[in-house]
This record gives sequence, structure tokens and C-alpha cells, in this order.
Amino acid sequence: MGLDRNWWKYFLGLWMLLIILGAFLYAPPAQGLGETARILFFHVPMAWLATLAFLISAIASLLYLRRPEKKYDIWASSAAQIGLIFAVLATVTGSIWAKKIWQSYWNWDPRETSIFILLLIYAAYFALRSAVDIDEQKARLAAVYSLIAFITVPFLVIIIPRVYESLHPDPLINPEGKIKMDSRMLQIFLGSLFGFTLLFYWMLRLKIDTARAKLVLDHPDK
Amino acid sequence: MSDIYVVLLVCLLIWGGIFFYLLHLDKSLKKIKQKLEFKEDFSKPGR
Amino acid sequence: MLLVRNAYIIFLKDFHLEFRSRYALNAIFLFAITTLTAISFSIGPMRLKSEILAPLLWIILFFSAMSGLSHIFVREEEQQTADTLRLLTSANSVFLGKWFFNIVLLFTLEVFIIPIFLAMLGVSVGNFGVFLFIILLGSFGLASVATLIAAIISQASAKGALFAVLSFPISLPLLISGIHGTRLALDGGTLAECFPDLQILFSFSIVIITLSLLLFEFIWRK
Repeated sequence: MGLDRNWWKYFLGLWMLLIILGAFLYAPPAQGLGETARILFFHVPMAWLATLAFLISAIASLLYLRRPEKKYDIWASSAAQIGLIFAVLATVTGSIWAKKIWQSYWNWDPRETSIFILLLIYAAYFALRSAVDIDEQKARLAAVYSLIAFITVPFLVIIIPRVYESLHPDPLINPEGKIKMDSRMLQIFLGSLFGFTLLFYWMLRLKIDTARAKLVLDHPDK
Repeated sequence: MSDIYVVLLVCLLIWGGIFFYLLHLDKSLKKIKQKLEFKEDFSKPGR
Repeated sequence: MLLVRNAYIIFLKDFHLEFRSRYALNAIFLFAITTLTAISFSIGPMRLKSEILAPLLWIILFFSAMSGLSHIFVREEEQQTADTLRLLTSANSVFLGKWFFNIVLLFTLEVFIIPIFLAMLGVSVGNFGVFLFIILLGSFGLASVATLIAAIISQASAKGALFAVLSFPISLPLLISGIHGTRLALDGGTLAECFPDLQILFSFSIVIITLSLLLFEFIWRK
């Protein structure tokens, strides 16, 4: 299912079309949260995929440190970029939802704080990359930072919300912790997750192949 | 409750925009790759 | 162990150099005193609540660290003694020596600044033992993060700005727990109440130090 095959892209286009329609017309409104909860079909998959992207970046960085090949660096920075995009979108959709149900765009509750920190950390990753001129050094230092950055993720995503849970019960946990989602909602949610994963894959491949092509153009002697 | 249909329409438009933009990028990339392979064929030694 | 002995020698070298020139020490003290003076002057006889005092203290500590803690690596690169160091000894002994130096530097600052802070702003500390414990543990972590990031940026351009940009997001888990715990301690919280914050400070510091020991080799070796 490489970039040269086109069928899955059109499939994705259709799939997401159906999912969006289904999210609004097929799935019932959530109990207690109403119509606004529909945003979760998009907000949650994007957040998960951002984390996956950062994981991919960390793994590629680790591989680069073991064997300094250019392709690992391309994977690391491309994944981080897509991850940042998805994280920003997740934050924005989350903020919109927060406005709807808690009447304020930003509350600094544990989860909001964590995603904010994550955005800063990965934005700093790109600040670091642009501050180093030598390619080898850039790739190496960025790889180290990517690993440091990803280590903070379990702290931010799991530990901090858990620890501060007991102090300030986080309203966000309860709706998300609902394991018993209506079956139609579950269908749409899983379908959305699948679609977004495919979308993520497409964006990542495009990014990587573009970087590779640019590399060949810049160094025609390779 | 016609609001929900407005949101639905906006989502569909956003998706449409994203999808066709990605398709456009995909096609441009394909063209660039073809050009690169074409150039490579000419720069190969022993031709 | 040779590692510890070399680390200690490096620490002593940096300590003596610092003792002579007092460059980092001046930077770090100057910032702290200036900030403290400005605030104390502005508020006059008014007393600040713990919600403000706690973040204030940490702002002073954090930005003082940003002023002075990168010096230890940047100076080596600028005076070109770094390569000699690379030849002479193992990477981790360099890290440990400089890490210890930064900790001593930050703690030295605190020995003076905290009493001055308490005096100038008329702070009454609820639970002094816990207050001290939180500050020390937090700054221990802060110095660790600063040392690691300082190593990274010492090889980049635009060192000063980049140091803060990279350090701040990574330090946020520390700052959040530190500020929260400090506030509780000022209000007279018990050790048990502050325990979650202490947990985070401790585990985060351990993770950072472990990561530094694993990754420093890749930052240091060209």
C-alpha cells in the first residue's frame, strides 16, 4: 500500500465522508453531554495519533543514534511535524469543546496543561533543528532531544493527570472513561480512528518522500 | 436544531479541502519523482 | 571508581575557574536580586498570597538558572577547551562533573536568595521543612534539566535564546509540581498533602538523570 498506489486514497476520501456523515446523522447524541460530544469522534483520534507520531519520531531518533543514516533523521523530523499538526488540531478541537461544555476556552486543567506542554516541547524541537547548521550535528542533537521529549509524554499524559485527579476531579476523565459507549457511537469512533490512522499514514509518507526528493535535488551526486 | 447541519456541512467542506489538497500534493510529488528518475537515467555512467 | 574521580576533578576545575571569574555566579545572583528587589519595591507593605508567592519564587529560580547554568558548557566550546576534554576523559565523567557543578551553583544561589526572599516579601512559611524539601528537590531536577539542555545548545548557534526555549517546556512538569507543592507548604500543608508533588519531582529528576547518562555520549562526541 505504497504511495504509488492510488486506490486506498480514494477509499479514504469516501470513508471519511461516510464517517463524518455518520458522526452527525447515525450516532446518537451522548447521554448528559448532548450533541457537542460528537467532536470527540475527531478530537480523540487526533490526540492518539499525535502521540503515535511522537513515538515514531522517538524510535527513528533512537535508530539514528545507533546508525547515523539520513533516512532515520527524515523519519524523525517528518513524524514530529505531522505529530505537531495533529496535536495542534487536537488542542483546538478540545478547546472548542471546552467552551461549549464548561463555558471557557482554556482552564489549565491537567489534560489541557499537558497537551499545551507537549506543543511547546515539540515546537522547541524544530527551534533546535533550525539553530544548527551542520547536517550531522542537527540530526544527532535533534535525535537526542526527540528522545528527551518523548520521555516526558508518559509524565504528561498519564502521571500528572492521575496525580492531580485526586486533588481536582477532572470532568474530562469521566466522559472519556466511559467504556460503555453506545454501540453506534463505538462504531463511528473506531471508524474515525481507522480513517485518521490512514490519513496520518498518507501525510507521513508524503512528507517523507518529499524530504527524500528534496535531498536528491540538493545533492545530485548522491 | 438546524445548527447541527451547518456544522456537518462545515466538516464536509473541511474534509473535502484537506482531501483534495493532499491529492494535489500527491500528484505533484509523483511528477517530481518521475522527473528525477528521468534525469538519473541520463547521468548514469556508461550511457 | 575512575568515573567518579574524573567527574570530581572536572567539577573542581570548573569550581576553581568559576571562583576566579565568578561569571555564572554573578549572572545568576544579579538576576535573582534584581527581580526580588523590583517586586518587593512595587508591592511595598502589601503581603502577597501564597498563590502568587509560590510561582514568583519559581520564576526567580528558573530564570536565574537560565541566566547562569548554560555557562558550564558554552564556555568550554567558546574557549575551545572542549575538544581537549573530549580526548582526555569519558563522556559521562564530563557530564557528572558539570552536573554536580550546576547543582552546587543553584544551591548556592538558594542559600542566599531564599532567606532574602522570605525577608523582603514578608513571607510566613506554614510548613518550613516541607517548603525546603520541595525547593531543594525541585531545583535538583531543574539543574539536571539545565545541564542536559546546556550540553545540547552548546553546539548550536543562538545559544542563549535556544537554551530557554528548550529548557522551559521540559522543565514544566517540575515547575508545575514545584509551584503547587510550594504553595501547599506555604499554607502549612503536611508532608502527606505535598506527597504527590514530591513524587513527581523525584521521579522526573531520576528519569532526566538516567536519560542524561544514556544520551550524553551522543551529544558530546562529534
